[in-house]
Amino acid sequence: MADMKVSAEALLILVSLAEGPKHGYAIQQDIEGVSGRRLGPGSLYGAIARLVSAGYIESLADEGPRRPYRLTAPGSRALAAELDALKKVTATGKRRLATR
Amino acid sequence: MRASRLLALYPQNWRRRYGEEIAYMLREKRLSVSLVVDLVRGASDAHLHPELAGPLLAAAGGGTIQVPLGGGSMTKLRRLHAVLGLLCLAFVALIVVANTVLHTAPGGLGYFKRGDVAAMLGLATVLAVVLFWASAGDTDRHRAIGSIASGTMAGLLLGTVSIPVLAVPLSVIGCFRLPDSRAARAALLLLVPLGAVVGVALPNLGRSLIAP
Repeated sequence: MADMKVSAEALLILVSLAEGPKHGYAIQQDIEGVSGRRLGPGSLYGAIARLVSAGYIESLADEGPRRPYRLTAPGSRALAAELDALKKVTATGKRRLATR
Repeated sequence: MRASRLLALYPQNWRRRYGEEIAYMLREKRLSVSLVVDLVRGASDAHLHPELAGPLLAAAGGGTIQVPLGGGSMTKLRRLHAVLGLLCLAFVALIVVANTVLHTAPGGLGYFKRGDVAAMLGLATVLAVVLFWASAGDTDRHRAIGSIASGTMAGLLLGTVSIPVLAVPLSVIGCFRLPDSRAARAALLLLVPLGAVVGVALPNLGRSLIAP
């Protein structure tokens, strides 16, 4: 397991799995519903592979086309840290926009 | 064409680990430009980072014993050799196009002569094969031969004044950036100029032997 910088795709996957275990297709649908962004299978599984490799998510079954993934404890911590950082960026951006 | 056929672009260990899941997502998909771009980009990423899908495994005997190959990850040097091998193939294509479409068009380039073409085509093809072979292994022999081939390719590009812009970054990357150890960097500093001399000499030799 290694610390990794979370990409936008990875962040969306972590947010999706924060609700509970999902397989790839369900993650794709959820992300589209939440963000309006449709991740293609190439981008989705590239990000999933990185998150599995970093130990942020894990698969619940060994094989099968609908293999579910779930958030791990390090993944939850990483997601919380990313959301905190985003919150700070968002607040700063809004404050600066308001003073223009 | 079914979109799932594009899964063939992925390396074997990726297909084994994620192929079924990706195929499930593609099961009723119509092929579109955005889907092709997404899968080609994903496959390129998978080839550059095969370790993300777990170790490279090859079935042996009755398929019950699995043997890790190359430690399951591709080193930076092996990756460089694979990229240079692709560049060699692109170079072959450039030579062919320059001597067919462009050469015969009115006002075409007309740069290459017959001897140059034969020598460069042959050398670039051999280099591509050698570099792909070097990228497939992680032994000292693979690294050394791959480094000589990289230097030869840099020399070939240096000797071809039409695209010298590629030679400088390749030499700099090959000498300083990619190898991890000081010894490997020092070896490359010697091997790349040696290969460059060979690369510049061979086209001239080919020209003198083949051209009338």
